[in-house]
Amino acid sequence: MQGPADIWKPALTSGVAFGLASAIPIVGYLNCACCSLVIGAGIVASFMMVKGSAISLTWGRAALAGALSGAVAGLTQSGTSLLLTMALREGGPARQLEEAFDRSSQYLPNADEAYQLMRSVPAAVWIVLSALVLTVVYTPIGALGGVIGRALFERRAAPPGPPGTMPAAPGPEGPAPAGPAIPS
Amino acid sequence: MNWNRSFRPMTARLVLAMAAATWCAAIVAPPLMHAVGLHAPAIVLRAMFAPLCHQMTTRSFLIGGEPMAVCARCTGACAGFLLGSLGLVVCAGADRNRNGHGHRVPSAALLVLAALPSALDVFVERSGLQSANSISRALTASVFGAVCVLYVLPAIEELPAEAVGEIRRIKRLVRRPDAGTS
Repeated sequence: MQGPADIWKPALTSGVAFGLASAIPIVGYLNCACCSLVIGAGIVASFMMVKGSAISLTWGRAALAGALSGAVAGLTQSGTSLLLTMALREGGPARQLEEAFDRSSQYLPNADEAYQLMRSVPAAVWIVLSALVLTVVYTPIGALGGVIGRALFERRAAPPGPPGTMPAAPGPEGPAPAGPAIPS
Repeated sequence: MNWNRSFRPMTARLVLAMAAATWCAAIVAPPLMHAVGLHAPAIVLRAMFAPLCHQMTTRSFLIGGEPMAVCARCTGACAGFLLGSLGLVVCAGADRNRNGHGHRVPSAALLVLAALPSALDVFVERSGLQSANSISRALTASVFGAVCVLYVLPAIEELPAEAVGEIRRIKRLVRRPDAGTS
């Protein structure tokens, strides 16, 4: 009997692909349409899991794959943006912060002090902070994408299980000890 | 809490509602933070949402003349999600389906149907038939947000057990690399 679908390959593949897409200047604006690229990463991860498994994909596993792909997308976008910033000498976290300040300054003319304070923080700190924030923000959005993908692509019946538990499917090496226990 | 087991249905609903409330609070916070002089955290919070939304002032709800952290459509979707999750807390225990989830998971058709009002709103606006406003953008998006909750809840219920299971599987593979993957 085949075990549950592998999470890592779909999550890494879709996360890296959509993270790269998010970092490309014009393509990245697609995220402004309801976070479509990040949600897309989760949907693709779920789709790959549905296609790659003989048993039905659970909601929890789809969300986990989506969350991982979102986190990977965040890290990939941060790394790629940094490389693009160094190559093109523009963009990146500092630019993003400047844009946020510009928007704020439209209705907050006396925020210069706050901006100067933020500019005094070293660029490396902003880069790390930006990567962290992107990862944290993209993770739940990716999980939502994973759930949407599960809803759209999984046509097989959900595996049975008692209330409040997950079905434990044995892997090729025997019963999966990692599987959620089914209470007696 | 026994992490081998999934969340109990009520716990999952509360976790979902709290997460949605936190997310919505982060959206509403920047104008309020500016008002009390917390400019730097407000700007950082606004920058945090920048990769997810265009944040155009003309398409956002304003609090005291300042826009929220995301546009009206995103605000509507998040507000709908929050209302939906609060509704699930109120309706906890109303029904249980045969798969063990605390509620019945609808088919994908409902999800597609819930996205239609937003798609229609965008179409009407883009085609120039009628100019959409922030209220219509938020209301149409809130339908999708509220319906999404029905699909996210079973995922939240199962997530702890799946995550712990995956961590244990990795540990097992590290200890015994020939154990196979899936």
